[in-house]
Amino acid sequence: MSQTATHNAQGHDDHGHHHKENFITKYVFSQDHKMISKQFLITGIIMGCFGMLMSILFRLQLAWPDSSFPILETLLGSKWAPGGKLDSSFYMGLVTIHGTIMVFFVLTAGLSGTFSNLLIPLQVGARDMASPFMNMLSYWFFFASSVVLTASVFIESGPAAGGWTVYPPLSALPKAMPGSGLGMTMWLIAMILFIGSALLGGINYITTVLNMRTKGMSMNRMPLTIWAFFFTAILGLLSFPVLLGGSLLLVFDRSFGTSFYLSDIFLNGEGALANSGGSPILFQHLFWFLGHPEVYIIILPALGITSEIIAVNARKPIFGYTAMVISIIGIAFLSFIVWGHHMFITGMNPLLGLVFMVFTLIIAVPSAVKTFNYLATLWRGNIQFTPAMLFAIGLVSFFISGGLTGIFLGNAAIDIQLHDTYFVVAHFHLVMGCAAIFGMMAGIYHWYPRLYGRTMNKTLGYMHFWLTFVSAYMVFFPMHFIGLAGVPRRYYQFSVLPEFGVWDDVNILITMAAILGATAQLLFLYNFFSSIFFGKKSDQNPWKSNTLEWTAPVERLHGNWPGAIPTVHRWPYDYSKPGYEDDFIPQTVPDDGNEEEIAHQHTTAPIMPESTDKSEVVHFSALLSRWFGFRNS
Amino acid sequence: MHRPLSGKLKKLLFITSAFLLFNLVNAAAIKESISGKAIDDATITAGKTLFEGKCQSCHALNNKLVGPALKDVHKRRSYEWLTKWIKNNEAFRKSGDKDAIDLFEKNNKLVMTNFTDLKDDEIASIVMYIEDASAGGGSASGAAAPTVIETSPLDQNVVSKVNWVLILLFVLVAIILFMIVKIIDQVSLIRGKDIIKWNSVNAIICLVFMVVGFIACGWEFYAHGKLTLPEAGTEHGRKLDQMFNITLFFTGIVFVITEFLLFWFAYKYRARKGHTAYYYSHNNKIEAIWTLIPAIVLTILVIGGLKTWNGITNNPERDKFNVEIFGYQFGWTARYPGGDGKLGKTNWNLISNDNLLGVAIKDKAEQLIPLLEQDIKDLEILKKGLPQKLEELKTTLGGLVDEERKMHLSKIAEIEDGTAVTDIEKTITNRKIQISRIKVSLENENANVFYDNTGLDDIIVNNEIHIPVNKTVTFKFRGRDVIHSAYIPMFRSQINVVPGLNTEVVFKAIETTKDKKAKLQKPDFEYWLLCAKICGAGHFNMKLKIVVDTEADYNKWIASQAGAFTKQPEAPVEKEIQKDSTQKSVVIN
Repeated sequence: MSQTATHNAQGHDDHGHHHKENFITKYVFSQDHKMISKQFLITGIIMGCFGMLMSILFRLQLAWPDSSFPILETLLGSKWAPGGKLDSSFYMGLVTIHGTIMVFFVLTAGLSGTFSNLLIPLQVGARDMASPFMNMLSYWFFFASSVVLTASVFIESGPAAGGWTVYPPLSALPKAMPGSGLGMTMWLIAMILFIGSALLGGINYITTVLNMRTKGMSMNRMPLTIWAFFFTAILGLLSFPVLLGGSLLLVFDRSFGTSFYLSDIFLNGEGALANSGGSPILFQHLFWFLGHPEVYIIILPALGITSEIIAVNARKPIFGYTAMVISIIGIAFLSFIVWGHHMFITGMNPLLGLVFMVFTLIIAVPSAVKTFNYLATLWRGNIQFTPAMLFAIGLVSFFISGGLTGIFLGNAAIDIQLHDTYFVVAHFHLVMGCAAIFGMMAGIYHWYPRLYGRTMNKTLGYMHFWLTFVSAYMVFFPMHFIGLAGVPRRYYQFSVLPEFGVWDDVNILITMAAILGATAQLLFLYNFFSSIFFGKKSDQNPWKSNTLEWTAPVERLHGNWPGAIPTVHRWPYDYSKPGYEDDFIPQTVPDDGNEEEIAHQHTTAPIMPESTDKSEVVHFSALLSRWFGFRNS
Repeated sequence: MHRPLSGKLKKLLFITSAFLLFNLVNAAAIKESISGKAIDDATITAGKTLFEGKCQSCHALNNKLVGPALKDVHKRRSYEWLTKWIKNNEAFRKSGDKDAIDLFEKNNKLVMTNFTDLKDDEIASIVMYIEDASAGGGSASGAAAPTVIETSPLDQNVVSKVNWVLILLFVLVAIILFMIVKIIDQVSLIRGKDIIKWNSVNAIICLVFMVVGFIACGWEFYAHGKLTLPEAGTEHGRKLDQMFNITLFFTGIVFVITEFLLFWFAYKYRARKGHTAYYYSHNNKIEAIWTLIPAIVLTILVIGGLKTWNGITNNPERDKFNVEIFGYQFGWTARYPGGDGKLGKTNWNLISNDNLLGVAIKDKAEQLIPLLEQDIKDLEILKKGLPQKLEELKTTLGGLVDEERKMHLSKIAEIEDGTAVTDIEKTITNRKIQISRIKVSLENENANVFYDNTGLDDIIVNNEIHIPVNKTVTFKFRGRDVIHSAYIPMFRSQINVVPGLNTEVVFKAIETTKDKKAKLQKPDFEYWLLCAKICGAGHFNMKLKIVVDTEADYNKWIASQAGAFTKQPEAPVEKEIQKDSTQKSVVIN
C-alpha cells in the first residue's frame, strides 16, 4: 500500500511537471478517468436516445397497425416503411437493436462505464485508474463498437433481426432472414469489440479498488457504490469471455462451415444443410452464462448509486451496511448459477430446470434484504428531495414491482405459461430497464457537479422525474396483463387471434405513454447539455456528502487532489451522528478517540497500516471472515 | 385433409356444371374465376380455409405483411403463373422467369415456402377466394365473406392526423412546462430563495402518486383481470394456475406493503424545519428477521414449484398417444400415426417437395437421389453461365434507372466479388453430402436403423388438428429451420421446437372445443398453437388450430384423413424399432 501511495504521488508529480495537454490528449485520447467517464456518459446518452427512438418507432406500429405514418416513409425509405407502415423484417431489426443498445451500450457501458470510471478513483482516493492507458482503450473499443452497431442499422439488408439474444440457427444462417446476413456480422463485430472494452475496463476497476485505496480506506470503509462497481467488474470479467467464446463459435458457424450450433437443418430455398452434430441449445447456455450475470452487471451499479444517494439525502447512515455488502456478494455469486432459468422450456432436461429454479428463487432473499434496508434507511430520515433522490426512490419502486414478478418467472412451472410473453417484457423492463436507467439518472443528477462543476436545473429535474416515472409505469404495468392473456412478445401486430383485439386500446395507451416518456427525456437532454455551460456554479460539496470525491476541488485537475491524497478515518455514512454540529462528517475527519465505528462495533477496524505486507487476497479473506463472524455474534 | 376436399371437389364439380348449364340460359349472370371455373360458395369456403392455413401467416389482402398484399393478384398475374409460383417458386425462379425473379428481389429476397403438396384444384380455390375477397366478398352469395384477412387499407387520413396532433400536444405541453420552470427559476433568483417549497411539493406528489397508483392497479385488475389466464383447458394447466395464484397472493402482499412504506416514509420523513434524522445504522435482529421471512416464503414457493414442475414434466402416461408437430418458417404441420399406431422415422436429409416432413421411406429416398443429382448438374450449369450472365447484366445496365438499376448493380457485384460462385459451390457441396448420406443410409446392412416403413401410413394434416378429450396426448415437436416455440396458452403448455433436438409436451385436454364455446358463449372460441420464439418476419402469424373433440368425433375425423403416402408398402411392415442414431431426444413436460 505504501508503495502504491508513493507511486501515486510520483505519478501526480509527473503530471504536474511534464504533461502538456493539447486538445487531442485532453478531450479525445484522454487518459484522465474523469474525461473518460464523460466520454462514456455522453456516448451512452446518444446511444440511449437512439434506442429510445427505435422503441417509439415499433410502438407506433403496435398501437396503430392499420394506419399509415407518411413521415416514416420519408424517414426510413420505401424499403423499410412502404406506404408509411413499418416493414415486419425491419420491425424485428428495431426490436433487436433496441435491446442490444439498451442492455449493452446504455446500461452496461453508459452506466457502469461512466460511474465506475468517475467514482472508483475519486471515492477510494486514487489519482487515477491503475492503468489510465487501458482505461482509454476501453472507451475507444466501446466507441468503435457503438459505431459499428449504429452503422449496421443503415445497411441495405438491414440490421441483425433475431432478437438481442441472437439465437442460432436464425442468426447463424444468413439465408434464414435478411438481417442474418451482413447485419448479423456487424452485430458480432460490435459485440466482440464491446467485450474487449468491458474486459479492459473490468480489470482496471478491480485492480484500482484492490490496490489503490488511500490510507485508511479499508475495504469495509468503502462506500457501497465502490462495492457494487467492484463486484460488477468481477462479474463482467468472469462472464464476458464466455460470450466472446460463444460469439466466436457463431462466427465460425457462419463463415467457416463449422457445426457448433447447427444440425438437422433444412432451410427454405437452401435445402438440407450439411451441418450435423451441433446444438443450438449450446449457444443459449453460453449466451446466458453471460446473459444472466449481465442483468446484475446492469442493476448492481444502479443499486450501489442508490445506496449512496439515499443515505446522503435521507441524512442517515445506510441501514445495514454489512448486510448490503453481503447481499451484493450473494447476488454476484448466485448470478453465476441461475442462467438456466432463461431456458426452462428449451428442451433442457427437466431436472436441470429444478436446480435452476431453486437457485433463482434464492436470489430473491438478498434482493429483499436490500429493499428492506432501503426502506429502513428512509425511516426517520430527514429526506431532501433532490432530483437524484427522487430517481433513487423511483428505482426502489421499480425494483420492487419488477423484482416480484421475477418470482413468477423463476418458477419453472409458471414459466411454461409466461415464457416469451409480454409478462417477461414487463418484468425485465421494470427490474433492469427502468430501475437501472433511474439509477443512472440519479447518478447523473447527483454527480453532475463533480463532472462539470455546475448543477443541473432542479425544477426541470423534478418535471423530468415525475413525467418519466408515471409514463414508465403506464408503459410497463399493463404489459403484465397482456402477457397473462397469452400474447407472445416480438409480435409485429396482434392480428394472429381475434381475441387479442381487446388489447388494441391498451396498446394505444402504452404507446402514448411511451411518447410522453420520450418527450420528458427532451427536458433531460436540454438540462444536461445546457447546464454544462450555463448551469449554476456548484460548491465543492453541494449535497453535504461524506465521501472522498467531494474533498477534491471543483476544478478538474489531472490527479484529482492538488496536494496529498486525503487520509480516511471513518466509514462514509456518518450522517446526523449525535454529538456533532453538522449532520455529516466527511470520511477525512479524524476520529475523536471515543467514537465507536458503528458498522463494526465489535471489532475496532484497523486503519490499514502503511507498511502492511499482507497480500490483498489474505486481507480480503480476513475481512470476509470477520464479517461473517460479526454476523454470528 | 384431402378426402373432405375431394368431397368438396365433387360438390364443386356439381356446382360448376350447374352453373355451366345456367350459363346457357343467362351468360351475363355468371362470374368466372381466372382459373376458368365458375365462382361458387363451396369453392370459396374451401379456398378460405386453405388460405387461412397456408397463406395467412405471411400474406394479407390489403397490406404487405411478410409477403406482398394479395388483393387483385389475379389481375396482376395469370393463373398459370400463380400456380407455378405457389407450387414451387424456387424452381420457377431457377427456370428464369423474369417476373418471378423480380418479385423475389423486390421482396427483400425473403424465400416463400414451396407448396408442392397443394393440388391444382386447391390452388384454384385459393385463387378464387382471393378474387372474391378482393371484390369485397360474397360475389357468389356472400356466404364466404372474408373474415380474418379482412384488413382495411392503411388509413392515411384520420388516425394518423390524430396521432400527430397528440404528439404535437405532448411537445406543446413540454414547452409550456419548460416555460413555467424558467419563470419559477427567474423569480426565485430575483427573490433569492425558492418560491416553491420543492421538498414539500415532492413529498406530497409521492403520496398522491402512491394513492393514484394503487387505485390504477386496482382498476387494471378489475378491467383486465378477467382476461388474464382464462380457465385452463388441460389438467396440468389448472395446477399451474393454482401455483400462479399462490405466488400472486404472497407477492401481492409484499408489493402493497413495501410500495406503501416506500412512499409513506418518503412523505412522512421529508426534510422540514426543526426535523432531524435519527442516527440508526443497523439492527441485527431486525435484519435477521427480514432475511428469514422471505426465505420461508420462498421455500414454500420453491416446494410448490418443484411439485408442479415435476407433475408436468414427469407424466407417466407419456407416449401413449403421439402426434408429431413439425414447425417451419412460418407454419406448422402435424403428423398422426396411421393404423399401426406408430410414427415413422424421419431424417432431414430426406425432406423434399413430395416429402415435406422428411419421413424415412425407402422408395422416396431412392427417388430423391436422381433429383438431387439433377440439382447439382443444374447448379454446375448455372455456375458456368455466370461470366456470360455478367456480360449480359453489364450490357443491359445502361437503360435502367432507380430500383432496377440498383438491383442490377447488386447482382453484378455479387458475381464480381465471387459471392455468387461461393454460394453455388456451397449448395453443391451440401447436395453432395446429402446424397452421400442418403446412400449410406440406404446401404446400411441393418436397414431398420433408418427406415422402418411405419411411416408409410402416417397421416399428414395441414390445417387444423383434432385431438380427443380426456386422453393423455403427447405432442412430439420437430423443427426444420430455426428455433420456434410451440405455445398453447389455453393448455398452459409451451416447449421450444429446436432443429436437431426432439422435444415434447404431454397433456390431457379436459374440455372439448364445443363445450368450451358453449360455456364461454363465444361461438368463435378456438384453441390455438402459436409461435413464441422469434423466428423471422412471419413470427407474429404462425398458428395452428387445435380442435378438442369427443372420442367419437375424433375417431370420425381421423378416419376421414388419408394417408400421406398413398402407395402401399411392398415390403412387410417391420415390427422392430431401433433408436434412430441421428436423432437425440430430450423430453420435457
